[in-house]
Amino acid sequence: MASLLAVADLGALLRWSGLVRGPAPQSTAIVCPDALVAEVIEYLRVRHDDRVGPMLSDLAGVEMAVERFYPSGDMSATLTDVAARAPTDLDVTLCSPVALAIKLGLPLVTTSNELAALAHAHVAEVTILGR
Amino acid sequence: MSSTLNVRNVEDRTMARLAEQAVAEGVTLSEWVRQLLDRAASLLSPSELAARRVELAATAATTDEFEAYYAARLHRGRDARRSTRRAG
Repeated sequence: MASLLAVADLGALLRWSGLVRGPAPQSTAIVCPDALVAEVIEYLRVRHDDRVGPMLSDLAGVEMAVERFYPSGDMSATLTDVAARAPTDLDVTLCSPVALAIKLGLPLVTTSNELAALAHAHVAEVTILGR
Repeated sequence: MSSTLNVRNVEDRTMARLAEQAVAEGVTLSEWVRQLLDRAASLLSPSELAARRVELAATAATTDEFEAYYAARLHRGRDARRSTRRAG
């Protein structure tokens, strides 16, 4: 049975919001670390060639699809621990959903095998979304 | 401008839980429920979200496009670490 609430990584968040094709999380609601907002904006910059109108429109859609963005500062110690265990080249900001799932004891939904591996053994339930 | 909302048949356990949450947040029950409603109203409902996905399907990025972007973004620490080591 799908979890009611799950933490989404960038890939799962963009699928949940409808901006990227592919199966979306089966949860009834998702939460994210607020650090991912900047990552969404960065993605939208690339996708829309810095055109602010479409960027703002898509960003509003993402924000209306996420139950809550949690303050990353509240999980800094957990994120530091995750960063220290992560492969050296893995970006720490994008690892923040793993830290949030650990901190809140929630399942993680991701499109990244690497983030799933990082979460393994620390997060009770990890779902990798297929293509 | 504001309105009054009366809700009938709220389960006792729901009321008790809401009251606990309000105490934890240091606000009155009314204020807490008002905040919950404000937050709920700012979100897409499940049906609205499903409709939005359908609406965006034609213009959504393909899985391949996004995976290429995501892989590069996930590993951007590689170059930063190299340049930091060179500087040191």
